Parts: sequence; C-alpha cells; structure tokens
Amino acid sequence: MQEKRNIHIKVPVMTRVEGEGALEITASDGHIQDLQLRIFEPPRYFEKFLEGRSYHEIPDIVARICGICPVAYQVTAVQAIESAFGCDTGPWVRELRRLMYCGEWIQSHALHIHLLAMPDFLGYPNAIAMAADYPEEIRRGLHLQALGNDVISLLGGRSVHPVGVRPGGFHYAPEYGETDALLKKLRAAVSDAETLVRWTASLDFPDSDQNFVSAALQHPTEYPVHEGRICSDSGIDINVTEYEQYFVEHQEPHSTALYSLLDGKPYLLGPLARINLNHAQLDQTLDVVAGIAVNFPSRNMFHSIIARAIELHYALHEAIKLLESYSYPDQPYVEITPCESIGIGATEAPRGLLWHRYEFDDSGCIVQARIVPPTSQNQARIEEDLHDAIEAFGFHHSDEAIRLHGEMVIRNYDPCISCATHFLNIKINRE
Amino acid sequence: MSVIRILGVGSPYGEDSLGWRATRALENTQLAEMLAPDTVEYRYLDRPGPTLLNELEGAIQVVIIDAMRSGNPPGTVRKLELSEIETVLAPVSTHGYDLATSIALARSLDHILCESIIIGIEMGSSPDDIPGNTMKRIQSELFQFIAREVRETRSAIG
Repeated sequence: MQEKRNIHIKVPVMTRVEGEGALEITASDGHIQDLQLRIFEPPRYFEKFLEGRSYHEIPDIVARICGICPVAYQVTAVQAIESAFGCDTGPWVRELRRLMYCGEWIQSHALHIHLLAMPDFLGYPNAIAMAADYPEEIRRGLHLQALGNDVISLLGGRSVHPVGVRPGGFHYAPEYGETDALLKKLRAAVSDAETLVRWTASLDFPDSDQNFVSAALQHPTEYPVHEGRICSDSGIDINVTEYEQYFVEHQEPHSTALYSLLDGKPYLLGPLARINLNHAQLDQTLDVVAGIAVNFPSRNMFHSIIARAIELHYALHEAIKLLESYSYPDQPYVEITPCESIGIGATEAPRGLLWHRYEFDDSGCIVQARIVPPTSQNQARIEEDLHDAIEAFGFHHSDEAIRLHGEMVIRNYDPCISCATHFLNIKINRE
Repeated sequence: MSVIRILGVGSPYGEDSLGWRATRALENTQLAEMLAPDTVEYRYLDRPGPTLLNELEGAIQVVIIDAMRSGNPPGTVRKLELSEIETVLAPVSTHGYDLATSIALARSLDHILCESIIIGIEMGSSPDDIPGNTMKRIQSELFQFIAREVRETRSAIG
C-alpha cells in the first residue's frame, strides 16, 4: 500500500563514515520531493597550500589529506610529477608502489567491512555491539587491517601518513629479512581472506537493481590499482590526461564538496565499479565465491561489501606475488630534473578513482594544483541511489527505520568526507 | 617474566605529540630496571584507531599515554577512568574510531583492560605552550607517577 503521509526526515550527523555530513529528505504522497546529502566539513584548501611548494614536498603534504588512504594520494601525486618531468622509474619502483597500494586496500577494506558496514547487515548499531556476538570475525578484521598497515609501513616507514614515497621512487628499500617476515604473515592470512569473501557473499542482501554507470581504471594485463586508462560501462575509454574533457565538477549550495558528472550524469566509483568493469581479471578470487549467487557485473549497491572482500583477497595474493619476486635494488629511486610542465596522475584509491593535475614552473614549483577525490565524485551517485533506495524501502516505515536504511545505503560507498572536503546527520521532512 | 608495555599514542608532531614524548622520556629512565624481572616495552602509535587492540595483546600490563584537553593547566598528568576518556583525550579519530571507541571495542572483545592504565597529559592552549618544553618540565613528575601506578597495579595482579 502506498504511503500518503507527508514526511520530513533529517539526520543531523551521520556515524561510521569519515568526516562531517548530514542527510535531509522531504517526501509527500509516498514520493521524495527533495533529498540533499549535505557535506559541511569546511573546505581544506590543500590545492592552495601546494601552490609555490616544490615538487618534492607534494607526497608528504598530500598524504595529510586522508588518514585512511594516504598511499593513494602519494602514489597519484608522484605519478603526476614523474609524468610532468618525463621520468621513467622502471619496473622495481612500479611493483613496489603496487605492493604499497595493496597494503592500503587491505587495511581500508578490512576496516570498512568489519567495523563500519557489517553491523548494518547483521542488525547491530555498531561494531562494539556486534563484537559481543561475532568476536572472532571482528578479531579477524582487526588482524587483516593490521596486516595491510604492515605492508604500508614496510615501504612508508609508518602506516599513517607514510614518509617513504618520493618522486622517482622510494627513500628506502626494505631488507630481505623484512620482506621475508612480511611474506610469512601474508601467506598465513590467505585462509582468513577466503573465509571473509565467503562470509560477505553469504549475507542476506536487500533487493536492489539500479541503473547506474560504473567508471574505473582498466589495465590490459592486471586488475587496476595504480595504472590504467579511465573507462566506463557507458563506453568511455580515455587516457588519464583527457579526464577533464569528460568529467565535469560543479558546486551545489548544500555541500562544501564539489559534485562531478560524466556526460551530465552521476556515476559510480569504487570497488563495485572496479569489479563491474574488471571482474575478468579476478578469476582466482571469483573461484572462491563459485557456487554462491553473486554475479558481476552487479547493479545492487549492497554487493559493495562483497566487492571489498574480493578486492582484499586479490590485494593479499598480489602482495604475496610481489614480495616473492622482490629484489634489493642498487638505488630505490631515479633522479628527477624538473622543468616547466604539466603532469597528470590517476590511480584507484580504496574508494575509487583519484585524479591529480599539477602545473609546475621551470624550477619545479607548483603553479596550480587540482585534486579530485573519489567521494566527491560519488556524491551525485549517492543522492541518486538514496532517492531510489528510500522510495523502494517505502515511507510506511518509521523515520528511524528510514534513517537507518539511508545510512546503510550511504555506507555502501564508504564515503570519506575528510577527503571530499570532506559527513552525516539525517533529516526527513514528512510534509 | 612478563611484559609491561608502554604505549605512546598520538602524533609525532604538534600538541598531540605529548604521548610520544612522554614514552620516549620514560624510555630514558630507570623504569625498566625498577620493574625487572618484568620486561618493559615501549611502542609509539600514530593515531592507531582500532589497531590499538592488537597492541593490548601479549602484555600483562599496558600503560596508554595520550594528550588530553580537560581544562587543567598544560602539563597536568592524570590517570583517567574509562568513563571519562571520551571527553578529555585528544579528539583524533579515523572513521569515528578514536581511542575511547577502540577501548570500548576492546572491552567488548574481552581484552584484559582491567590491567591497563590510561594516562592523560594536558595539552597547551596557546602558541607559547610548546610540547617539548612541557615535557621537560614534567619529566621527573611523570616518571614518579607512572612508576607508582605501574607498581601498584602490578602488585595487585601478582
């Protein structure tokens, strides 16, 4: 039966997301009249801070944008710098950056699955309440997160705002003793990652079949992590340098983060979008879920939690592979000679495509910087999803039930508002 | 022989560096000799979030030292009750997982927090309150305070 009440729901502060934001919904006659995802963290001005700084300062500054995905910011930045100055770092640096990035995927996905998203699926208000009934699962999540942090620390010196990345390579190359010790720990965690994939795939998912565009990097020989062309299932296939011609940002009055549209429409970034476009390169991990009713590409955003588990499993195996072929280098970086130029980089942060553009003067100082994080790009898509998902959920539910469902929908995107400006309180107006 | 672990929590830099600075200062004292035959470990945790729980395992006693903002004069050292840490410790969180939430999660997972001591050191409130100067001023008092608290708790554990 269609609900005819007029409804106004407001969630003034959202939990289990990174940053400050709110959601306000106004509905009447069973339909949403207005829905606004308000991101009201103040702008952080990182792009402005970078102006006038030398290129070699960028990795340590952009690492401060996010405590969860500093590696993504650093690797994207150095990629842009090296592109600007025509620097080929060679295969050793390329593989070690991929290894470090795998560490970030493992820790970020483990945190989100176990502590942020899973309580929604199992009906707990938070991970603390869930831990009483699922202690082993929570411990497993914490162990996997710590393991991802260990991978980051191997190359970054520490896991929060790591300091090992430099333009041209790394400041430091790990000794064999360090890589061997980490390799043992990663191998010992393989069964945990397999169990995790099966656990997420066995969840009872809400029905959802939405028509959205997935966008992500694609690479001819590997699952995209830190390199590739920007592609979408709507047909674009472009070099990262062509990004601004297709993806257009704009300001909405209710949000301090910019919105971004592709061909004038919202689009999805992140683990589900990546798998939708690149599942053919995940044979080994998809074998783990064989026999379970999960098919990719998927148009059910609640499958994002499986996508994260699958990517965690992939990243673990990839890290093992990269460490098994590790060799100690003569020098962990190549020298860079700055010049007046423009450089662009794009990688797959845990939450989706991260794009950087830097314009340098002839001494290598930044004239202009532009950083487009994944959460701001997902903002329009989250609002679109919320509109469909809450109408499908129905306004016969209580404001509290609608609020909880809305938060669950939003958490599918693992939004990092601190990166996007940067999240969430909900207000529902039943008019 | 058991392990007593000192955890400096916070950041290497700025006002939130008091936990690290205090831990480093303790490492340069006779605390280890005083607590022998137990082994004293020192660890430095950069805004650990929920990974704090991994640091609570394998030790008979854990001392967590963090910067706090409680309205007391800069450099004030206090043993904190679990019930008050949410309001006074430095509000640094990752996806909402600050030290207070992480400790609540640890309790839910039955980590042995009754053998943990949480020490807060008051942050400065003006540019003149330099963390390094604060630490030099309170170093001796901090050592006496931690040594007394650890010994009392250790004798209660047996």
